[in-house]
Amino acid sequence: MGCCYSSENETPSQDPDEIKPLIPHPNPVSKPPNGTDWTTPSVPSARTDEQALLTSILTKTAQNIIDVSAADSVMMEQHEYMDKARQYSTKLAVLSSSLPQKKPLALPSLTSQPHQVLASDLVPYSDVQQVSKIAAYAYSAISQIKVDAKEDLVVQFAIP
Amino acid sequence: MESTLEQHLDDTMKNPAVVGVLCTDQQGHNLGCRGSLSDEHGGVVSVLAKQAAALTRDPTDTPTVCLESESGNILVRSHGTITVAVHKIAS
Repeated sequence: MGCCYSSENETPSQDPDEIKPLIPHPNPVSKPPNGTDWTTPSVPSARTDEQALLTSILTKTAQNIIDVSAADSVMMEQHEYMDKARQYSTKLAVLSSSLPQKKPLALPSLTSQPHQVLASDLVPYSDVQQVSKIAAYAYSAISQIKVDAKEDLVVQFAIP
Repeated sequence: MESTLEQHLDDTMKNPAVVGVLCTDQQGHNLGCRGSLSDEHGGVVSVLAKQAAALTRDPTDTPTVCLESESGNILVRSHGTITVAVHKIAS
């Protein structure tokens, strides 16, 4: 991303409508975030467009940032916590009984002894070769199945 | 015309370790089956072979898919436009 045009000299012959920004500058944040030093724009005409853009990005980010470290941690008593948990579970029980039960479709289990299957010997290579031979022979056998054209499919419609 | 294929499937079943054989086309339609493998397995077999072939860019490198279980192995292999599955038990 580069700069298409920039000019250091402020020519008085410039049309004021030309240099008026299309999007008005958003209100700068009043409370600065923790630990950040802010320099207020003193003379906007003296800053370049890049600096104004940087300032606007910084203000937007500061407005959107939520500082977690500064928030007070929620302190709850043990009994309050237990009460809340009990309340939620009773509510859940009431809701789940009213909702239709939907059991997730379980995948069929292929074996009850997965360790045994996994630890058993590998498929012998002779079997793999045998299967590839069977497949090759089957392919050649199938290629014998073909259309045997005995007559013309399209004939003259002869009216005697 | 299909007698060669039928004979070939019968010959494959003569092997004592083979308990099922299935032959399908690229769309999973059954071309011939024997034993433990039947019509209903055609779709799964053809799709497995197709998906396995997608693992490699080399079209000449046809993989053999092996489904291993306690009751034997099912080996699936494509050749050209057909896919063959053989169910072998440990002999």
